Amino acid sequence: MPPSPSSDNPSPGSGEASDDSASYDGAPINYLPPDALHNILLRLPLRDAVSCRAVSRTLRDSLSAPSFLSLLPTLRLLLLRHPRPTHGPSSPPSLHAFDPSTRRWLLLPLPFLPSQVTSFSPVSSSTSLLYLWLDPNPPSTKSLAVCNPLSQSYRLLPPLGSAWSRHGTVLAGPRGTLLVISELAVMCFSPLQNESQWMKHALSLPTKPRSPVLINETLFTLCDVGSAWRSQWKLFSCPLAGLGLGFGPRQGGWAPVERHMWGDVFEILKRPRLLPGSGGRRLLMIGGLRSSFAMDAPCSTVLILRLDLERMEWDEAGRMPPEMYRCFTGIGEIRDPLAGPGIVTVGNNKVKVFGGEGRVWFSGKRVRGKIAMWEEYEDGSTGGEWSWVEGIPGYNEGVYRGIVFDAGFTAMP
Amino acid sequence: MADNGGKKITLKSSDGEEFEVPEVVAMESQTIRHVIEDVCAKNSIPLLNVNSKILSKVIEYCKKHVAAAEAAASKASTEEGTAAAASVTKPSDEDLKTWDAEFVKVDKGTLFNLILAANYLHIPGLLDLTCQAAADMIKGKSAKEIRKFFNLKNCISPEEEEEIRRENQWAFEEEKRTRAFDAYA
Repeated sequence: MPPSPSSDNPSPGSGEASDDSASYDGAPINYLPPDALHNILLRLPLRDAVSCRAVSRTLRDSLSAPSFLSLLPTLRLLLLRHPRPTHGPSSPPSLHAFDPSTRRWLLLPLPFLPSQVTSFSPVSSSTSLLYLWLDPNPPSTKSLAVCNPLSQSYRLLPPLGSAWSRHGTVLAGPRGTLLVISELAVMCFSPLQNESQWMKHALSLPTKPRSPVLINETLFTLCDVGSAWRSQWKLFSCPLAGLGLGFGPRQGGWAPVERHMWGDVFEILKRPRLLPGSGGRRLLMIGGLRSSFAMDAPCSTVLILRLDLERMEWDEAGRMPPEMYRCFTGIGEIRDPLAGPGIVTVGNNKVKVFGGEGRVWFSGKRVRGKIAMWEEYEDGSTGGEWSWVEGIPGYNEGVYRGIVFDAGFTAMP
Repeated sequence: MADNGGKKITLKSSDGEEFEVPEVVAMESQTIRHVIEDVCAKNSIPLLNVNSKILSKVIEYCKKHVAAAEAAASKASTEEGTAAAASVTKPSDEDLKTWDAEFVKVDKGTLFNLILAANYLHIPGLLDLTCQAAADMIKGKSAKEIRKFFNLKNCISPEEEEEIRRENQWAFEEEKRTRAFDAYA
């Protein structure tokens, strides 16, 4: 449809309207009713929408109203978490964030953190909200805080006690619920039930939980029910209602999740980790793929298995390409003459696995300055896209992990 | 479009031009539908906020979408429940999308006027289509380019703009690699 000859764009300095001046004159946008303007803004990605604040006073005001901001789409990011974070007085506290949709790094400043905090670590998130461990100076008990880094607001949670901070896995649930899971118990914070304290529940699991995750109001975890010389992994689940958290009447508890047809799905992986899958309907289990069932058999690569929680069936979501895996293990580093030709026995080649919701990232000691990323195929078929993400900040010791964070304005601390 | 001799209605643009259209096409506009249904025996409806050029585009959109809906409905009823019905409606969905995409390839003045008209006449499909086209035009543009696009005078002072950029750093710029990473060296 060719434009009609009279419709030229006005020259920038003239302030004249374009052709249809019979309908209006002056800046077209001033004649757009607010709901039409909002209609347009709500179709923009979050960064584009917020950057419109710098365009004009009208847009700045529209884009500052909390009710409108809460309608904007969220932005999915990977936040990096260093095992020993500190920030010096010269560099204000901030988080490195990776936007996988544009493959760009962003910096999220956190100037609102209290000045006596010397280090902090993001540990969990729910939509728009980020949970951080805060280390105060002078050193005292670590505390958990919930913040919205985009609206620059935060709130401290009631104190937990230092025994929990080092080893507990923090999981954020719906409606502001927070769980801290350690070897023997889980601490629950449910603001709708009790704003001022944590409730403790004993864990009735056979062994300590490994890699607990929360998917759609159900907790999943692995337990090693094997012996001292051979691991045997088993999957357990527990509905949040079973912890008496106010999600309906208290019912259910920890129960094994198994099906006869699953066969040896738990035996083929070394050091498996769980991650939430996409859409709240899948569970990912990731580990080294054993090259044989011998106890000390090396792994041939990293395998991602996916459990469909509705059909209760496993399938292979993806496996790391060999040339990528070699970067983590180091080719030819240590050759074990007893292991036979072509087999490389490696030292500490632990691959850190993190992420979830359709993307998984891998970091390792031998892989400096980058992490590997797996992205699930949209149709859910086996395979997925593997790529390197460059630009990881340098580190002295320890290896980065990360958490997925849907940044936005849909919830406030 | 099936010519069933349906009732026709006259729409009169702000600049006095008259358009005779089937009533079912005019009723794509919920504003007009209410006038027809609530205020009986209207033969000519004046639209004071829409000029003839825009009104003819709006009518073109409504005619196309009414025709597409009628075609889909008649195909579905003649081949009910068969796989053929599904396969026939799919290509026409694609055709309509392509037509819509071409329809909004207009200059921004016309686009804004279409948004205003779709808003005033309450035509949800056209409003979605035109607002999405406007959003697609803004995506990725800098604040200066967006200002130019909407033909706005810059009434934000440089200091205010600097403060906005600073407070919303994550939205404006990518991480400055060199400085940020020094902290970890």
